[in-house]
Amino acid sequence: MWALRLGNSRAARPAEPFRDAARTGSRHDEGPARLVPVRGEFAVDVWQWIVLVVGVLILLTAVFYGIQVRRRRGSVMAQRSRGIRGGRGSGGRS
Amino acid sequence: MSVLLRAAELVKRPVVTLAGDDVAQIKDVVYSSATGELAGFTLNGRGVFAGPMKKTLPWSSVHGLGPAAVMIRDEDSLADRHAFDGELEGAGGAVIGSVVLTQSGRNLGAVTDVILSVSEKITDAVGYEIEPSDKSAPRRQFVPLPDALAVSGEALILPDTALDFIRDDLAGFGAAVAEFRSHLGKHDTQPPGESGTPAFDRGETTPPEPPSYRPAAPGEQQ
Repeated sequence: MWALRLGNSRAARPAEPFRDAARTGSRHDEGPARLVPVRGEFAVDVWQWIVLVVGVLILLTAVFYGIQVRRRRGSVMAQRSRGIRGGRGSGGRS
Repeated sequence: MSVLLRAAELVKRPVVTLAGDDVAQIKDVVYSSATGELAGFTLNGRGVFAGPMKKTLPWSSVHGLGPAAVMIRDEDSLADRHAFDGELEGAGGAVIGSVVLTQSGRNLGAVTDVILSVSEKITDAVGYEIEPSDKSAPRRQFVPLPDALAVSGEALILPDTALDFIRDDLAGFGAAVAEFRSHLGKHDTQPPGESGTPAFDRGETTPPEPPSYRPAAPGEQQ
């Protein structure tokens, strides 16, 4: 079932007439012919992939660093013992 | 001989063993709200991406406290996080930023730091550095703490007589603390929230020269 679909896929069909039109230089079909990928690959160069990966890594590093900075933030804490404390039974405001 | 220092200055100070290993960094300074005694420190790991450690540093395990580092004997001096559990049952809270109120309801300002008195025997909180709510007052003021503290969920409560002992700088603040506590002892003032125990009922005497506060040993306290 799958093999049959792939063999008759709709994506493959329009390419042939567009290529023919590009070869003949038909002005009428000039626009659609440009849409056909020449080598059948997604046109992203290696350097673009590198920029993308590095950018994501920088973003993740910044997020992780920000979280760690918040976790590492220190303060002066008072331990509220039961005998003295008034007000809330538990839970601080930190 | 005791020295006054700001508790916030201890935050981020490295913890170093006597062998020279830099094992941690101070995260929180934890003191008892009942007695003011310094309980110890929570710790951060070393390195930019290291988070809080599961171990803590009790004050009793500190070998030395210097301007550059907190010294411990070795890594065995670190305790697990349950070391503070007994006192944390009542829950803790960040003091910095809390409002300081007098017993009569006057708002003195917000806490910007806690002043610790460090001596060879014991270290405890003796005052707050506050940013006064009164804009005509100096930017920073130092308020002495009584022997027994009162910390509510939202505010830090002080006796009204503390107003007479507010200082504008740390010089002479130790003397103000001693005078304030001596004054409280004479007038037998009770801290708010404590019903039956006078503030100065431990039979201790206040030494004459500042900064000379000698808190009772842990075994003497209730």
